[in-house]
Amino acid sequence: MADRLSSLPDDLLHSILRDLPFKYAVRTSALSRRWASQWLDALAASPVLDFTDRDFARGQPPARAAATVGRCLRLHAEHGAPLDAFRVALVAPSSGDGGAFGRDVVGWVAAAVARGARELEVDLTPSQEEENAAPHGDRFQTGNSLERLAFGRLSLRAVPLPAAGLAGLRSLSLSHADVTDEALRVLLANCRALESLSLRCCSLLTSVSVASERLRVLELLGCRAVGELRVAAPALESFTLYGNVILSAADWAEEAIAVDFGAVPVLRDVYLSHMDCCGYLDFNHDHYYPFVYYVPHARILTLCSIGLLPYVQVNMGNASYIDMPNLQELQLLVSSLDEEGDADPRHPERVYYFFHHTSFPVLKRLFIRFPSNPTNGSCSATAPIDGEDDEDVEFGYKIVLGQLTFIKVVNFRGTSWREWRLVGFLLKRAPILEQLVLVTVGGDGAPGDEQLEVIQERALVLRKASRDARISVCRPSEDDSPNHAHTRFFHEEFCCVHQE
Amino acid sequence: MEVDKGKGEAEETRKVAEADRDTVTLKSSDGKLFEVSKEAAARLSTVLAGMIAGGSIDDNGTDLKQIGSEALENVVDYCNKHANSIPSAALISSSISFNTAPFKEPEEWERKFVDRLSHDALFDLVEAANFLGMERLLDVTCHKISEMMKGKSPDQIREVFNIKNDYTKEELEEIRQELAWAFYDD
Repeated sequence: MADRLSSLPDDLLHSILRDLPFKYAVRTSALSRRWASQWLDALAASPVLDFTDRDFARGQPPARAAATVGRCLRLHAEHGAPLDAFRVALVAPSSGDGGAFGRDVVGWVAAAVARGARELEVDLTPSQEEENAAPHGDRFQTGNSLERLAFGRLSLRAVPLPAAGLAGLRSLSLSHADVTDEALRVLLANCRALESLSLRCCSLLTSVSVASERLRVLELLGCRAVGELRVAAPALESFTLYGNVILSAADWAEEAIAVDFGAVPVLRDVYLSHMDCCGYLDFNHDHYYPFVYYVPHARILTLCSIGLLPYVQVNMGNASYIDMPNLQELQLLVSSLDEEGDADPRHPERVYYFFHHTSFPVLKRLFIRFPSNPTNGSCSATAPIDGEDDEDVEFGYKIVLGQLTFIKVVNFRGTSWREWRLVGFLLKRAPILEQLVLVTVGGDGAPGDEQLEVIQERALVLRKASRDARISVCRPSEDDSPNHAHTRFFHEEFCCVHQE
Repeated sequence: MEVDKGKGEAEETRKVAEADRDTVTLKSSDGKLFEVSKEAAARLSTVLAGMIAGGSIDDNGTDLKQIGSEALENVVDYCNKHANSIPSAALISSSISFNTAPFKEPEEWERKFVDRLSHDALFDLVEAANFLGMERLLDVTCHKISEMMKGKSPDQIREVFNIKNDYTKEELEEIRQELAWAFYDD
């Protein structure tokens, strides 16, 4: 058999290599002499330089990784190909040559900006040792040289950037950078063309103020200390918040968390998830104001369980009500209903308050996601009280989900009567529902075939308002039904990070 | 090729002047003739588009001497399938990114289309697509090749593609040392 692959012209080999994960592209250098530097040439001709492979950062000393990045950038410049995006994710050296490393990073960023890169991503994770040594909570404030230099770049004074350099930047992503509130303000003032801004684990940020005419996408992920958020971005289409300001205190409260969202006429999708979704919340505050009240015009929404909480707290006394006139796709990241539930089993969980205090005249698709790994065991599948009807979750008036055609419940266990109550509640209120999909848990908690049958049988006899609604129960691998537009679950991603 | 039209209409179509035909005829290196939708050919192949626009299409079969009949059949098959395929419904992406992905994932039918090819037929098709300037088909076939390489050790890749290792033992060791991070779990 002839070696057809090695006979292909270089440019085809390059597109094949660019399609491979970085690590596998690099490995091909061991195939034969023909392949020795193909991966480098492929990179040098690519409009995207991406060094965010986890193994690249962690599997070698920082100085060596830095040398490779520098070499690729030089080759790229010699090759003269356009550079659209430059992304690096490296581990900062814990000691010694940190200064040189930092200067390298600054140099690359300056070079990339000078070459006209429209997208820049700098992710400088502190080294493992430091992470372990630093007490939890302020491990990102250890002020190692690398973060300082990242900050130096952000102050824009340390780097001789071309005047028009940042003005053309369209996307910026900073992770674990020690950017301060003031530095961010200056940076944004210089990036007039910025369309996408992502800030991840920037622990020095406390009061974020984003004013940008062109900004379409804003992500604020895991920036723990942020307690104040002001956004003036009339073109904003997509907003993701995984943080602690998802609840803001009412104006009159002493420790008010300020949120000002201004007018966002084209806002399309919003993701709101509280960082301690899987942890605790200070229940002493009874004056939370739900963040979702600031973005009622979203068409697509993901909301975590904590985000539902204030409906209970706020609405207990006065029946305040929120209109979400455009909402078509809603995803609720519900924490364990058992934990959420009151000691009195007849007391409804907060998810019901949400449905009763929100109007969604055009809601078409509803997704409910239970935790994949609940902390405690299952409770009884049958209601502890006589009759498992949900009359107890009536609020004195009926709600109707008049446009709802599709419901999907993910990580459905079928072992808790609360799960069944919620599904039954929804079925009875969706008169034109076409399909209900119950997706079981995968992995270790996956039900056996027998258990699956039990769930199926029980699901088929549920009372429903729409006679034609199809009900299906399936395993995650068998599920080919539509998904919500938001398919990243930060509370799951970050929980893993925290446990590391 | 079948064109979904009424019978009377089909008769009409045959009668219209040759220049207005909605198909073109292509001839493989071994002399076999294939008919392909003109619209799809012009849309999917920069080379065929240039020939159609430049009037260098031979109604008795345009010679494509570099392409064998099996590969040409696949090219034509792909074009016609493409002409008939319903574009997949636009998905709402979770976040808007202007950063164009280097490659759009193959559609289900495209995946099946390349999956059924033998090793040699796949490479023949890559070369044919390259010759005809068919960007999308190149993407799909190259993607298939990279899938065949993904997750494999250099030894396994050499075996799959019959690549001869012309390094000395020392040279190879040097490469693996220098790029050790990429070979950890190899």
